[in-house]
Amino acid sequence: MDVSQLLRGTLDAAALAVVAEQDGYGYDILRRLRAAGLAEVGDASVYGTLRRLYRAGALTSYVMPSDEGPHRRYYGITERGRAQLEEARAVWAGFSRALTTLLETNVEVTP
Amino acid sequence: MTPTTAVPPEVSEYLAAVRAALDDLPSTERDDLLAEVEPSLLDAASETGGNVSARLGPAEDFAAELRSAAGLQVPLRRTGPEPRLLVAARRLARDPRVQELRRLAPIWWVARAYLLVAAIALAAGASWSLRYFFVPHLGTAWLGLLAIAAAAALSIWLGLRTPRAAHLVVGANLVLLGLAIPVLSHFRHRQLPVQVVTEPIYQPTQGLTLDGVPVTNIYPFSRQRRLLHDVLLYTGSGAPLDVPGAAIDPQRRVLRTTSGKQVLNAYPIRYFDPGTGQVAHPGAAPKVQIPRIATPPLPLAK
Repeated sequence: MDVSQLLRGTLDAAALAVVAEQDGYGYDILRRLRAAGLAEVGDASVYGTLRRLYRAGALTSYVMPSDEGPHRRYYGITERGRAQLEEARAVWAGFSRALTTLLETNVEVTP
Repeated sequence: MTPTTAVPPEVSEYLAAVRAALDDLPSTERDDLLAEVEPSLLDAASETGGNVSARLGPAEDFAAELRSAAGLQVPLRRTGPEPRLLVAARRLARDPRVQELRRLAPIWWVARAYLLVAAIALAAGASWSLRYFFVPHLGTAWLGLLAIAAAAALSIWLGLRTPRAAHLVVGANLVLLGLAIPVLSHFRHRQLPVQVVTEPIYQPTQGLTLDGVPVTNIYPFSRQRRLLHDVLLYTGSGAPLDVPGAAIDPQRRVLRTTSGKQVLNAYPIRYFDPGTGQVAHPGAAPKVQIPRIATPPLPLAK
């Protein structure tokens, strides 16, 4: 199992956490996710996830002119997004605790 | 810093390929996704430089990932290698000579509209115009013609505004093309309308007729205007001139030969009064104007 497979189910929470910290545009959010340690996150996965979260009402969006190129679409978190993020935090805390316990126990693995 | 909105060619090519791979999505959905992707790709290109597709992988894979992450339906063809036939069809569609044929598309737009109306008329069991065999009667032939015209206008309008390669469009066109089978089969097997003839048809009536009216009796008169009785009539070929219908009347006074054989060509036919065996008025005859004959009688051999 690699990180990209783990990311599949958790990218929503990661993207929401990044936007909750500060509004951002697509590439900026991607960079911040990578900087946070998710180096393997795919560009298309992030952009697609942002659109889906926006459609679901977890994110709001607004356009800001940019001096360096086309206008940028910024994303900010909504109340619904915050609720979703809180829920994800709780789920993740429980899940990671359980998995940490499991994986750190010295169990003989027989092929 | 001056605004630099010019998109590098490799980025615009990559975007076009992504757009093509998302061709089956509703246009607003696709535009939203691409509006998100384009500035991000430009940001990435200006920051990292280098080849876009080398960094992001093939545009088709990028589009598939984008689609999947956005929670949009993944087309079936993405799940495996494309069938050879489909690949060949795509290559054929890109051929310049085939592209040239696309200029004939309006003809197809009209044809598919007609096929749809004709198929609906067939399914509804409508009758067809006798004069213009291709026009179904939708109430009247005029309404049928109007329906065809309206469908053609709608079809052309749709043809002008929908993207050609969208799967839904291709599928709908194939279904409409399939309608040609029942419609053409109908024209092939339809029975040509039978001409309705209103003039009277000659039907030979049995026995004697005069101007189509059966002759039931004959009253011979001599040139002296005297009614003759029991006159035997024969045709030119020597056949007795009978009135067949009268033979079955039990009241008829039928002449018989000495051997008892019936003689049915004796005129005028007379009828007995019921139960008497007597003819009440043997001299009865229709009121006729017997002309005076000037021609001398034939000299007959004595």
